[in-house]
Amino acid sequence: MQKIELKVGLFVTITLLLIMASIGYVAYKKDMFSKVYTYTLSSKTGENLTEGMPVVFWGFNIGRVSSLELIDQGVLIQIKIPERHNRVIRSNSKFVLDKPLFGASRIVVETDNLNAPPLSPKTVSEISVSNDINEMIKRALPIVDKADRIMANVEQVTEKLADPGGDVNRILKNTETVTANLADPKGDVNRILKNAEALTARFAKKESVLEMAVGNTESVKSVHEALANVRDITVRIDKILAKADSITGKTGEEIYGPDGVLPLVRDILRDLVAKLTKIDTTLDNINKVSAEAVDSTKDLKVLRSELDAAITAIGNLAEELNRKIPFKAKPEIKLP
Amino acid sequence: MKKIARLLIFILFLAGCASSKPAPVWIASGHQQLENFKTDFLTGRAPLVTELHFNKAIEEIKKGGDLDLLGKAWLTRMALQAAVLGKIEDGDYRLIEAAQTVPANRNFYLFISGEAARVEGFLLPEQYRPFLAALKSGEAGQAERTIVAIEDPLSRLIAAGLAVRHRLVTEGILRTAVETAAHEGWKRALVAWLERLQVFHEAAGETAKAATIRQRLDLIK
Repeated sequence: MQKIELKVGLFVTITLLLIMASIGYVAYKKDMFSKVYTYTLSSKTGENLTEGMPVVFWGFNIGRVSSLELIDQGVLIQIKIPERHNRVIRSNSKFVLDKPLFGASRIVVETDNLNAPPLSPKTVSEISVSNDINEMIKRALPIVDKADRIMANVEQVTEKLADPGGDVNRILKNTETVTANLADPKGDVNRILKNAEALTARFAKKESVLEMAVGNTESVKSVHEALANVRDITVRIDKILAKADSITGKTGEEIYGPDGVLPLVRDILRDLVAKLTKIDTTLDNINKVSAEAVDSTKDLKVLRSELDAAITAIGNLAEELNRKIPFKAKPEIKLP
Repeated sequence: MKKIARLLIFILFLAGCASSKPAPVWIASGHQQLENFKTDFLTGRAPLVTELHFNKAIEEIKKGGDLDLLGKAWLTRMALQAAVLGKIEDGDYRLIEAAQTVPANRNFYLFISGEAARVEGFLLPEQYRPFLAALKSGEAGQAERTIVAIEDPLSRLIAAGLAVRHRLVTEGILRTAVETAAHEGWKRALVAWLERLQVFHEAAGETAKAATIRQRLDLIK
């Protein structure tokens, strides 16, 4: 009988010890026995602050808000940091009340230098507020401004397109001036042709009259490259026209929007004029050199006809675009 | 009531669809070339470029074979010559008229070529009608008032040119023309009208005014 009682007593004692050890272990793990440092923070408002709120450093919970106290100047916040995390609380630490777009608020500790002296528990640090929504609005504002400016520019471009004295129409006129230069009997190209007639036979074995005239293959290459580019642009405008055909009568966004047809066409036309100017310069150079060159005019005639064809094609396409996209009143020929 | 409203909306929708149809290529292109010609002519660009635009406009209009529009293009050219106090040349207009007479064009031709007595007011573009009455009356003051009242700058300049051809010359008319050309940046027209204004002052013995205009001309030429 006594033996049984002894066994029961032993069992109960061991069980109790195990339970106490478990509780002790959990308490130990929960820093119940470690030293806890208390710091005091201040805020002008208690909004979004709650007791038990986590204190976070680098994304880890390092403590919590233990109490909130209303005072005349605002709110005093006491935070408790266990000893093992206390090393991140330094005199240069900043405390930020973080209000994320989603989820609960928290106090974020930012410490630039972990070797700085420890923060005195007597110091009252002020909490600053980080508001994701406000931050987003702040960051969005310049973008909105930019978008606004872009829209204003698009509007300006549209106006210029519609304006007979605007950029695009000036570009078209310039293009025609170049064509006129080509068509002019006294113009550059025709002067080149006349000069070419006086070329001497000593260069007759050369492969290209153009090469002879400019004196190097690089210049010839650049002329042909420029012509090829003009052809490419023609194809690109053609594609845009096809697109414009399909969207005529639809919403203005597709035509006037930032990704619409008109800004793109404007860029292409600018590109075209730059290239035509390059060709014109090259022709000028040829003209200067050709006074001493040989007799055949074949290549130069081909060059001229290619230029004529390319420029006329571009002009016609641009005019067609002008006609198809409804940014102008319907053209009408009437008495002045 | 609802049915009527629906019908109205449907008609408006159809009208909207109809108006979005683009003009034929040759009209659009001819119009654009003619506009370029007008600007180039009045600003005094190189004749080569100016004529190139006019020829292209004619070529485009010929594609449609519309003699009415072809006549209008030639009449536009004649009107521009009047606007810069130049010699008015018929060009192909008479040939076009011989093939097909368009009353409005014929009337405008008479107006431009100085036969005001034969011009019918109702066939004339609206902006010139009060001026035509002044022209027929031969009153320079009235002509000046009607010219100033013309809203379109080119039409105003054309009317001023016609007034001068009919010897209805006042300082007001000349100054209106000068201001119009200057405002629009039409240099060729501006020079022509300034020269005419200088002659006017010289004839009136106003040498100081004439000298001022001469200086202005020297600086802008």
